Amino acid sequence: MTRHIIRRLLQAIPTLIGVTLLSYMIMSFAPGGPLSFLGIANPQETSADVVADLEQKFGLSDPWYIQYGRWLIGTDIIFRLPQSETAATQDDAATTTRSTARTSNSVQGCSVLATERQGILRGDFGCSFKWRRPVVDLIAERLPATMELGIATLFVALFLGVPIGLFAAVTRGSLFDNFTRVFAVVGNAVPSFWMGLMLLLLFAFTLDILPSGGRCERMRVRLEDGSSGGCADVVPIYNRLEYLILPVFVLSLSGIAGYSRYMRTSMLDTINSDYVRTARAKGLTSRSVWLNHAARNALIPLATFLGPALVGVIGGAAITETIFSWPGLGRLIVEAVTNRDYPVIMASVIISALLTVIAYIISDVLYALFDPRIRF
Amino acid sequence: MASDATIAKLEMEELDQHVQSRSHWQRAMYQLSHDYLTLLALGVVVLLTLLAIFAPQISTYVTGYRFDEENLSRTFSPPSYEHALGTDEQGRDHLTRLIWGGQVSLGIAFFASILSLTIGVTLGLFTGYYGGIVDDVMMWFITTLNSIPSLFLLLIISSVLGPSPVNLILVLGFLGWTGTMRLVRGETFTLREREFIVAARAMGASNARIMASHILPNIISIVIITLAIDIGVLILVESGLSFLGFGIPSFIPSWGNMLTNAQAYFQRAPHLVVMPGLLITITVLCLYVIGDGLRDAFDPTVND
Repeated sequence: MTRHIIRRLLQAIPTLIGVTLLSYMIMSFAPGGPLSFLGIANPQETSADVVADLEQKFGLSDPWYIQYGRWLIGTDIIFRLPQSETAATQDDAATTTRSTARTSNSVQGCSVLATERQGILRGDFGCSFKWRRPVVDLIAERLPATMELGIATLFVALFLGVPIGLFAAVTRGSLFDNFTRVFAVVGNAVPSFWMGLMLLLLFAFTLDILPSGGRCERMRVRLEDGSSGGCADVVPIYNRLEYLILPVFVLSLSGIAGYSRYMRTSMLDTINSDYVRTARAKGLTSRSVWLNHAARNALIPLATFLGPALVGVIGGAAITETIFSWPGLGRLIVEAVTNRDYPVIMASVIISALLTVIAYIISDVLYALFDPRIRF
Repeated sequence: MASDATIAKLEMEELDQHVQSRSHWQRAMYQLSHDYLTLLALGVVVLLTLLAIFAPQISTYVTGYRFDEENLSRTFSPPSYEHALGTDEQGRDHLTRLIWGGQVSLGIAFFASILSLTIGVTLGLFTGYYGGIVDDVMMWFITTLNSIPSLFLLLIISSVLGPSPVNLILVLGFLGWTGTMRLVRGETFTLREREFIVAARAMGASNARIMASHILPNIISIVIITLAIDIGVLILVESGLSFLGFGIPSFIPSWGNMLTNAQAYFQRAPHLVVMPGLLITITVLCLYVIGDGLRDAFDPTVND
């Protein structure tokens, strides 16, 4: 088991390297090139001297793999390697900027033009163009909101989807079975943002019984500086459940549809297996057979669903969070793409990929734990 | 029980002598022609497609408005005789825009899924057939691509390229092929070991010939099923992107970006919210039903 986990962790490394390469490529192909990454919107309008100076300062004329490596593991390790001829001048430039960078880093904000970077492997994702704050801080503020939404969604989807699927399998061909089948297909076909809009129209504006968005009462005020507002520490979650209802419903709809269908198939498979027939034959009640014998085994494959489900929630949250003004990672990335805030975009991509990979590994391990037949 | 089964088997054999034999395709067509739900869904999709294709003619002769014809004295008017579904914030006819929006949404989803299917089937065939290092590299690439939430990638790349229908087709097509590729790869893996492939190779058929005329025909039914479902999924994705403002530029109506505008004004004009979403739902629903029906028709072993 431990060996399997270690192997899965090792397998994740090439994937994560691929993700960093991909997001680095996106930055390089961004309109304006890497200079736009330094906060210069129109390189053509900037004087050639300034551009040359910046290119020299940040080593932009180096081959791409050197720049990539520098971005990955930091300027203090890779910066000097390629420049053997100009080493002396580079050193001077580096020392002067190093001191300025340090002073600007000591404050809460950060400098987009800091030449010294720790590298993303050490958690330095740079500075947000828009908010002038370290990207890591921004993400750390937004991530709990997304996790809150994601976990609530997963909870609702599982607790509704699984029983629906089980019951549909047990009463195969009944009105309930057919109704949930239709519901599942429709649930997958409805665009989530339209669903969200219709629900807002009904519950927030027409009936006026649910809030029209946000995570808690005082959130909007705090969002001005790009932070998510301290809802979680100020208002306990049971006091702001009404803010969760609509987004969680919209996000969990496809989950309910998916799980119920999947559970139904899985349950039908187990119901038709020999040991269930034996249990029936020895005179156990239907309820006992279904719940104690069949359902437990039918639940096992669901473990493999958890990883992809979490990814779906993180990805799908971008739209739902936008509709319901939920201050999470998804909305952060939509805002970052709108503002061309590349450090935030790259960091969100890498961190969501990291979460995804971890989620896949966890669901893999859970599967092995739940099913004793699986040996590694 | 046993005797029942034998009797049933005998009956089947007797029946077989009277029933004329059908090819795989004939059998599938026969099954489809008796699947009324699928036929209904097909009818709806064909109708919507025709409306989309003839959108210019319809807007000239039937509704009588251009999709960008503004009338600032009649903004947010509710459904009336002049405007069957009302007007939007710039006084444009909602029905006309819906029909044009169908052209954009259906067209983009159709061409993007053709593109992604072409890429997915070609790569799936190659990696499944050759295996080895080609397969390892492809699988690494796919795992990498799949570990980033696809909406994020779509958002980023379409914002880098800028909003336009052609860019959107390219982005959706070039990012959406991984599922198809995996499916085709798996099928090719199993087909590659079958006797008829070995026989073809023994007769001196080249790799290209084996892939094109022996493996491809065997996976074409999967491809058709995937196409139907893919178009549905891509309509949802396209409308989601356009809704966020990264898909279709807002002066071209699409079902997705019509909802963006509707969200801004939906307290004043709730009628603008309902129709675009309803059309998306109906179209996607019908495409899913068609996909299911095709699966039933082509794959008799799958029973729900």
